[in-house]
Amino acid sequence: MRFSLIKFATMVRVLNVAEKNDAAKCIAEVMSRGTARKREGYSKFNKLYEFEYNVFNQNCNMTMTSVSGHLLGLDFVGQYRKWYSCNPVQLFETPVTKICPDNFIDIKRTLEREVKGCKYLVIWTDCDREGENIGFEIIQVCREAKPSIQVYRARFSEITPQAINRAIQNLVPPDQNVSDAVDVRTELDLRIGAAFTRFQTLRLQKVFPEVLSDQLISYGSCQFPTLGFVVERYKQVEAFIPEPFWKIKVTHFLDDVKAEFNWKRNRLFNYQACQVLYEQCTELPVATVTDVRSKSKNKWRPQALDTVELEKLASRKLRINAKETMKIAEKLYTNGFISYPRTETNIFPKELNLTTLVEDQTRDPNWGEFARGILQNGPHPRNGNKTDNAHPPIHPIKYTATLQGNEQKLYEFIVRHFLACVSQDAQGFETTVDIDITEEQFTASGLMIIGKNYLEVYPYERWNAKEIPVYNVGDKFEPSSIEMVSGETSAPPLLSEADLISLMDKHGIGTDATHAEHIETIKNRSYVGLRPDGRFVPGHLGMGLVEGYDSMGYEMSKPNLRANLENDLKLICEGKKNKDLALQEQISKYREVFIQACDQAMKLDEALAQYLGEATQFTATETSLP
Amino acid sequence: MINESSEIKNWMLETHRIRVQDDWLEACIEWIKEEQQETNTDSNIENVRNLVFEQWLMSDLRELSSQCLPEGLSSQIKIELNGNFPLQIESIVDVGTSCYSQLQKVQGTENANVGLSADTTLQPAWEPKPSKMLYFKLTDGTNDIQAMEYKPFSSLNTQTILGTKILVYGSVICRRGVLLLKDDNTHVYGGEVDSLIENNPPEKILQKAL
Ligand SMILES: [Mg+2]
Repeated sequence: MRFSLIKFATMVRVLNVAEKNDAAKCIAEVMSRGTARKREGYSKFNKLYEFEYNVFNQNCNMTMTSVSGHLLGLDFVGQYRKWYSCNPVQLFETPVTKICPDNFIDIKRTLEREVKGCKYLVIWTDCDREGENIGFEIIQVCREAKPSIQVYRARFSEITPQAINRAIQNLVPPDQNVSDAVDVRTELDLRIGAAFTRFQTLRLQKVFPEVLSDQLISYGSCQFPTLGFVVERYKQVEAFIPEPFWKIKVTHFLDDVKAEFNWKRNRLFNYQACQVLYEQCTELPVATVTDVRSKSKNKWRPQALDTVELEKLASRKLRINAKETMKIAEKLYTNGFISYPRTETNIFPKELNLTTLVEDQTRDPNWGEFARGILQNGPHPRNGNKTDNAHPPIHPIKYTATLQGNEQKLYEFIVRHFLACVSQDAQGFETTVDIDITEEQFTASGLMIIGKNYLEVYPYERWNAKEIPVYNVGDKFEPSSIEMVSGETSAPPLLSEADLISLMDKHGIGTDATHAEHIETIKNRSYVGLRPDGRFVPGHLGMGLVEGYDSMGYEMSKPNLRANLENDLKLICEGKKNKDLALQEQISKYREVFIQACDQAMKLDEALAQYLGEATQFTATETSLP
Repeated sequence: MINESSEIKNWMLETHRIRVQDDWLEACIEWIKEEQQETNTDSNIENVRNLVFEQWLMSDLRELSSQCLPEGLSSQIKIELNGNFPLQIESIVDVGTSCYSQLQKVQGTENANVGLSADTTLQPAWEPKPSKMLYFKLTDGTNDIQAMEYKPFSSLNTQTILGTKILVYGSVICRRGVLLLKDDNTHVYGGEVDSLIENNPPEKILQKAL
């Protein structure tokens, strides 16, 4: 008894901090093989888990606890937090400070108390930019309480015994560059957001007192381009002018099988031109088969799954929006069911054992048999070409049949996508028949499906077989019908959430981790609305704001400015750009734009007046800067 | 003078298959001679006839009141024409593409974002790929007629200058007043008509068509 007490007293203590309580609990469970003891801290949401573990070449006493996302927040110092404290343009240079918000003080106190008896601090936050930055916040708090603490970072993409064990055997220093990039982004978001938000809110509340008197009219450098995409597409739809067109359609029945031949000219926007050609054809309505081609045709299995694709596919196929998708995915990750869901990688690393992952799924009554089928030839992933060198593509890591509702739906999707990705392309055989009727060419094609392969496990895609009669070159026949049909061009569709994410991704607005949030923000601000068919339309306020800024010519609703910022952040992460330099450059760019916007604020009033009714003359008073 | 005039008239017919009116030709030759005297250039017959052809290319056939097409073609459902028909292009549109998309191209308001959809594999593209077909309004100077690019041309496109003269030759099908043109029955002389160019900027034509 005495012996073990001495042992306990001399054992090295290690403080481990994860990003969320769930993660702390799961990691502790994995590391302790379920033997961790739970203890309370000051924050009732963030427990402490204790166990012994062999690390740093010795058996250590491990304390695993957590924060709840960011521990510190950035804000202006003291007086400048008040809306009327200064002219908003000053917000580009007034001093800022990182502080712990009131609701996280308890977490901070726990860390300060626990770190005192520890020799090492291991950071277990999510391995992405935000996670790295949260890690540095934890380090800051712990160092202040115990300056001699030795700090390490655990890198992992999934919460499995192997991954966690690998992480702790390969502890690394935390990555200052990545954290710096987040600091730069946070400071810019604060300054730009506060300056524009105060400017436009204070002004527009006065100019449209009846409509906007109580409304916060926020501005964010990601929010606005996102809104801009919605407005742009809406205007494209509005501006569209439909036009009639005509085409010739030929059908032929042979032994009850129908072939539909499409005109090589596709369609013509001139009635007379089409009529002339139609009469050419019907004068001597005999078709001659000029070519018959057959070739195997594959339908590609899906690529390894990254975050943007997950969001898009979940939105389209499961009707779960991006924000909800990421929330669920995060939970599935924390519970050890899937790998880390924030990843830009769509290439499976060679060292990942896909076979065991597939084997794990053979238990399922629905897709288990398919999984067994894959094992016969071995898994062959269809990889893309992107990697963030941090996380593998999203994949299941543990079989479960215990989930419900959307969690179950999303898990099933990730599993099916994974199994489809490592199986085989669907195989078909396509036959194309060309015919000639008085020098007009038509084409029909049929499809025979030889192997459904991945489609067996992937109900989110369809491939329809199409039978056509057998033709030989030189065959002549009289078509069952030759018709001149008319149609009308239609406007492009309004943006769906998946379309919007594609645009953000293409233009570098936000990151895979933040797309969903920006979309949520513009919805919450009533800048845009979602129609029942899942397509976005801009609201009056959103339209007016975008038109107002567009008319100033600074294209604040366009993606270029923000995309440039995102690019700088990337360079900081890679250690290719100094963070202070990037910060200064970006601040001065946005400050310039801000000053121009203030000078031309009338244009904002005018644009909004189209939607919100007459504008009240704006007069600057002491309390309504600028 | 009379000799020279009839020699050039023959040359126009034989070399270029163009039948010009005597009064226009004589006035044209006279004008060329005056110009040549002023600038002291050699007025040998070769120079003169080349200049006559050039003048014809730059003229408006409507002002010449020339005529080569048979009357009443538009009321015929189908007729096969045989011969040589020098014609002037009054307008050109591509009827294989919507006017709206052509207008956006001309105005430079095309936006790649419009083509972007999250679903690139399953849905058909928003609009099918257009196939070009030029559609013309032509005149012989007196009778107007329409024409279509029945088989793809290499020598004409939507950028072709209005007032360009072409020769439609050989045997040509004309249905409902529309000539079926192809490379082997259509020859492009060139030329232009200032007033047509001025009054028909591409943007205006497309806007009118919409
Ligand atoms: Mg995170």
